[in-house]
Amino acid sequence: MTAPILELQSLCIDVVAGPTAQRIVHDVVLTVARGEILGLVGESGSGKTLSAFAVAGLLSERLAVSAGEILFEGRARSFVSEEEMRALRGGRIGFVFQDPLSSFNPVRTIGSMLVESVVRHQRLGKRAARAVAIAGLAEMRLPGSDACFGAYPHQLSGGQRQRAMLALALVNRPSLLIADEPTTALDPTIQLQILALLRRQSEGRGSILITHDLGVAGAVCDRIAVMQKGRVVEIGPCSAILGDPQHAYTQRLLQARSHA
Amino acid sequence: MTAQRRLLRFAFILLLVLVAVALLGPFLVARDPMRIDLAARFLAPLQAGHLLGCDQLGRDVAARLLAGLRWSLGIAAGATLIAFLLGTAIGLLAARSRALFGTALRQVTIFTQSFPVFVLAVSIVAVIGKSGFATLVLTLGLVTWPVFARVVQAEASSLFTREYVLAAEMMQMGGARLLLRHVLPALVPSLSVLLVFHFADMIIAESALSFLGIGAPLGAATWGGMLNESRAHMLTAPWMLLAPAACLVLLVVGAHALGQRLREATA
Amino acid sequence: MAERARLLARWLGSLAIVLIATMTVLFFLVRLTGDPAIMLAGPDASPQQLQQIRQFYGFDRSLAEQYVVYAGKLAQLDFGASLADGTPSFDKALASFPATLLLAMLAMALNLAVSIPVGAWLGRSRQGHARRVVRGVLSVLQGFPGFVLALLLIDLFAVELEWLPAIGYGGPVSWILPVVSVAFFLAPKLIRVLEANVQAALLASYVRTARSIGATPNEILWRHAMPNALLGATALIGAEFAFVMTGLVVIETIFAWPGIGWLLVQSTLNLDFPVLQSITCLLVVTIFLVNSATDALQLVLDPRLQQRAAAP
Repeated sequence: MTAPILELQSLCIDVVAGPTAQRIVHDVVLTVARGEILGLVGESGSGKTLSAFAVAGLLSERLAVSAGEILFEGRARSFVSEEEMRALRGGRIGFVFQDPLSSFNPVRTIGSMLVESVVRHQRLGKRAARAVAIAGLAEMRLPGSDACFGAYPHQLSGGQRQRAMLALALVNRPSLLIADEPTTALDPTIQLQILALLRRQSEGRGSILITHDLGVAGAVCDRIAVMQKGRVVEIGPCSAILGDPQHAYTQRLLQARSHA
Repeated sequence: MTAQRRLLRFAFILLLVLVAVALLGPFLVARDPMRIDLAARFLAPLQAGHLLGCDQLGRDVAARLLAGLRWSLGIAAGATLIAFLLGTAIGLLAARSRALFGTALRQVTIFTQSFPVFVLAVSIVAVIGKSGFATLVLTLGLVTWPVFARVVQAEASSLFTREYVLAAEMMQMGGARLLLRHVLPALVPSLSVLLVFHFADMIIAESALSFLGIGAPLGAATWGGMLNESRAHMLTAPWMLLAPAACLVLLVVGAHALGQRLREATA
Repeated sequence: MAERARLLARWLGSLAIVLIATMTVLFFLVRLTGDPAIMLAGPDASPQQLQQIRQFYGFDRSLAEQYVVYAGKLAQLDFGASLADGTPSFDKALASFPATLLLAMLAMALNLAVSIPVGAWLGRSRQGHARRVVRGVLSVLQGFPGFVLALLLIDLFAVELEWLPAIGYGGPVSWILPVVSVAFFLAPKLIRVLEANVQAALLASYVRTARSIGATPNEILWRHAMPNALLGATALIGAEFAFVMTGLVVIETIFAWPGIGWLLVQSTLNLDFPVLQSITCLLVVTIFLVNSATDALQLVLDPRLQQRAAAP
């Protein structure tokens, strides 16, 4: 068995604003292997997004990793400088955010964002980067990639924007893709398309899909970790979690799903 | 935060002191601001009983500053009052009549908002061809009322659609009582902020006009006029520049600080 | 194409309305507050001269008749001859325009060059001594009367230190004091707005996206946050430009800068009424043009507005 792409060893996150630190994520242990999609499931406030932010080094300044270790491609985070971290973000780790409209800069074209990322991480010239960016958009099946390249976020539909967001996250072929609620803001049919795209793009890299919806996780994930109040309460293969949930919280989530 | 508070309290006390000095002025300084004493020309400060020295005609700078303060405060207060009364009345009317009058007023205020009020004041004073206290107060008041009208119109028209005002209207409360009981009280916070800032603007406008020699009667003691006269003697008599400049800046910056404090308190 | 023609027609129409309204107000102001013959002839004119002027300009006729004649003349841009030297007053007003434009451009350039970095720094930095000091200085400058600042700068740099000439328009070195005076008057307001806008932009979700593709803090500030912050300040920048194009009466006078504000004061003091009238007309057109240009610029710069404008 090859080494996992990502390994979280007892990750803890504290709120550091104020006189005393307050722990909000406790001892999270996870691994993500190459070619695998790990579902991170829980209600809002369960710590799933914060854990993912910690992996990408995107925690706001009020939050800090206080204990534990993040191993990405075998390297411990404690030994990665901020500059190296920037090279990882967008280069080796791609991130897809929940609301693609507010996550894109309203005055920047989609293409300029991709080009910025390609120029930074692949050290290409503007012209070569443009070709890479257009190819990246085409790969996400964006109709009329040239038109999308010059488009502003508000000119695209919700589904197109999320494809563009995926293109931005994947344009430098990262080994880890983290998608934070990528389908929550979308219509059901578009949701399925985006999930299929995510599945297709999971080959050769590790992926984390963050969602509050066990059904969504069940549709594409290989393994699922259920989080509650900052702790992983249950983790296992998709079929086991959905078919035979052990933890009461997981059972409740499943019931809520079947009632809905 | 505490440093800022202290600064603001200082500004407030400063304004109170200035107003008190203006009111009590004639009892404090017995000197005549107009008295020419050629023997005392360019007398430096703190000499021969002249606290702030004398100007190019030997007139006492402190006495002229005091007279200028009374002139400035009087004009600014008068002009602000006129602009306030006129602007509030017109703004309320415009908020009530949403049809033609409201639209017309909105257009007028939009345009006057970008038109340099000061230019307007200069040309009007020129056209009227008279100088003096009343001319200045009227001109400045009459060209700046749209400042108040705009704010009152915007806030009052949203008030007129609020439930409690609608309810009062349904209970057939008369127009005047409706305004006094429900609409005007709600406008007090923003109007009080506006009053302070407008007062500061009027102080500047008056001093700029008298600096240009427009509006104030010839030879009258005004801060603007003193600043203008100081220009020829900057090298030999810097106090002629610095004394009125410091007074003007203290008054205006103090008013601004007070306005900002009020705005924060009412926000 | 037809759409464009209609927009242009509407634009010209509103310009015409504003102009007609202003000139009408001016017309009645002059005739109702004093004797225009005295105003035109000056206070020293003899009764015969006054009579001649009344006949020549038709002040002896009814107001309605006068108004028709007045409007007809204005339509041909005939504002009468300047009383000071007999040249056409409109040409005189127009000739003072380039000087004002120069001062306005230079002052706005300096204003932006100071405000953008300072606003960016304040918007990004956290509480600290340096920040508190800068903000304190700004709040004092914000209330500072512009012409007093100009006088103090003259006293310091021209009179005490003798580094710079005290009056302007004699070559680049003499431009420094007027330009600095105007820019320092404008900058505090713009800095405050940019500070708030940068602060808001840095909290926006798209900044997190920028971080997720590896942008450095500087890149985030200048390439992602600042365009939005500036866009939000376009209206203020336009208003400040309109102000420097029309409102620099005292500063131009102090520095003997032969612009439109200086001319306004000169003709006011000389009671040169035709020139005053030309200036007023010119200022109205200028403000209208600058306001329209600001709106157009916002439309060009903000992609979200473009689509709304293009939509039927």
